[in-house]
Amino acid sequence: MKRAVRHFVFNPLSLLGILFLVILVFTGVLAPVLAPYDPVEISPDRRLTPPNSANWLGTDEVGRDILSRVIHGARISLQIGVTIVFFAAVIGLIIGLISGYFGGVWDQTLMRFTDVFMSFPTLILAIAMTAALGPSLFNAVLAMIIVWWPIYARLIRGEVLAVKEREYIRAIKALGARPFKIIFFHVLPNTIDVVVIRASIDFGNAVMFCAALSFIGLGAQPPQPEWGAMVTTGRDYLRDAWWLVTFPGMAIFLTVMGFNLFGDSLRDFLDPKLRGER
Amino acid sequence: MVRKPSVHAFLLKRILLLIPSLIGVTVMVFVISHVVPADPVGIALGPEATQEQINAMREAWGLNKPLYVQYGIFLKNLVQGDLGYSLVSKRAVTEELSYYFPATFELTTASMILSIILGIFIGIVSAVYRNRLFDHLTRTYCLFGISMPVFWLGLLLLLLFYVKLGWLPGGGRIADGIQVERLSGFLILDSLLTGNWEALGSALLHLVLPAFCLSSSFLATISRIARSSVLQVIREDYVRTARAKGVPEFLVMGKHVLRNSLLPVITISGILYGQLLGGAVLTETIFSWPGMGRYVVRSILHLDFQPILGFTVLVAVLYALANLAVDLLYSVVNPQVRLE
Repeated sequence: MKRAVRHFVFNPLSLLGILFLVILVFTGVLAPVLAPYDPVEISPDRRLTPPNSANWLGTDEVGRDILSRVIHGARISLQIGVTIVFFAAVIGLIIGLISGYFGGVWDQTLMRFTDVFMSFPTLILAIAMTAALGPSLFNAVLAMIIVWWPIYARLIRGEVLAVKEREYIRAIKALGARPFKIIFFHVLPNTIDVVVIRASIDFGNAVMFCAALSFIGLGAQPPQPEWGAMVTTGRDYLRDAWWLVTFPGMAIFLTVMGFNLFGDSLRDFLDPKLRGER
Repeated sequence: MVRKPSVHAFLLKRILLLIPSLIGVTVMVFVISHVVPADPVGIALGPEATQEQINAMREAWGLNKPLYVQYGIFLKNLVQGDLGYSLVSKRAVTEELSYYFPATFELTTASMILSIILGIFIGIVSAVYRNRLFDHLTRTYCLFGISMPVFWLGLLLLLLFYVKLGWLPGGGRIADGIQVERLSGFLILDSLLTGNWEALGSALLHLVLPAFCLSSSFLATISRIARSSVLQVIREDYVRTARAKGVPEFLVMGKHVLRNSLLPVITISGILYGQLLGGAVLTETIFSWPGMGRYVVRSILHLDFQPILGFTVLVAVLYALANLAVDLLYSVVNPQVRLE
């Protein structure tokens, strides 16, 4: 515990990452309390107001308060990140464990299956998938899970292959333990670290990819206060109203950076072998 | 004596390995187009289709046939280069994609070259001057680069260099009014071939912002990898030996360190190329770059499904070819792989 506190608190970069994440979670959870205005309420007389004392981050093209929208956007991003990473990791974990532990035909079939997913660049496959399902935030998240789990499956399979050859696993096997018990009580605890490290970095990427899908019109639909969708709207007013694009984009940037810093720091903590040379 | 496998054999093996992967790609695209949408015909024809049109298309697509027969028909069309028709323009998707391809290729290639050359340079300098000011600056840049959404960066660049400063053009591939004879579709190449220097200057100027925007995160990734790879190689015995022999430092770096630290960079560049194609969709939208990415986004807005699918197939093929190229390059730089 002491080591953890020392590692995360006394390292300025990891502290910065944690700070961003705390702000994100805090804003996301308390969005309705913190936001000064209704994020979807239109007020035509206040449209495109630059940042001022009443609207700290200005207003958008229909007079909605940008600060309130960015705050509510934190809640949406938090939900998006948690959903994508959780389901992708769980599906990947199950497939990876089965594939790595049982090997043979199971492994061959499952891995060829993941190969197919990995023959496409992630964003392109997500675009095709969301377009087929129909543009909406729910479908964008679903598509992201579908294209993301193979990454976890491959990662975990690799870990399982290494773990299952260790002495203690062989010993338990020789004692006649059932595969289910070995996988859940002995293999899984020894592979979970890599999943946690990867997930902590992926969280930011998931938010960024989903914002990208919204940016091209496949994700969140108006008037949802989603950051990517807000940047898209702001694009049309770039010349006269810089704040429309700047603040939601900044929110995405800080979120992704927070998770990158935290993820790097977590990796150093959980896997000291990788430390140093980055 | 062990006979060394030739480069030809290596190439053949790699090409053969592409086949199962491409079959997988077709299965996946088939699933996305025929199985995932609740009503593929509805999507293809749009909401205003009449019942006769729907029936006719069902018949034409063979949607009343068993799934494996449908896959056969799909594959046959695909092999013949038939990717269907765009609803908006009523033209063949293959024809449209081949029209937009050069613009995308020009942009992604420029970004790739920029990221690799600059990335390796930054990585080496950063490693050599480890923990000094340059290193700290580049590591901060890398963190920013990988965290910055490409569509946001693009808009900020436009805001600064086009709207506020007016130094660079705001979008498109070339200034209005400048004509280039279309030989290959690659503007830079075409203006060079026809000796049209005004067009060349304009095309290059238009390429600056999109290429920089698209390459930012890849540049960051490559510098990070190059830095850590150089840091490892620099400590190897053969580097110490070379230095002890009195080999000048630039030769040690250029010959011994660079070549050996390139391997991880080459390995990652295939994957990065795929991400670059994904990023191109966003970059082209922001900079009104008339390439495949913008074409796809326009198709998305019109719910025009066939072009999206055609683009997905093409990108998967390009991605596979990029990875093949990476394998080959890898074998050139590291002859040991050829023996495996």
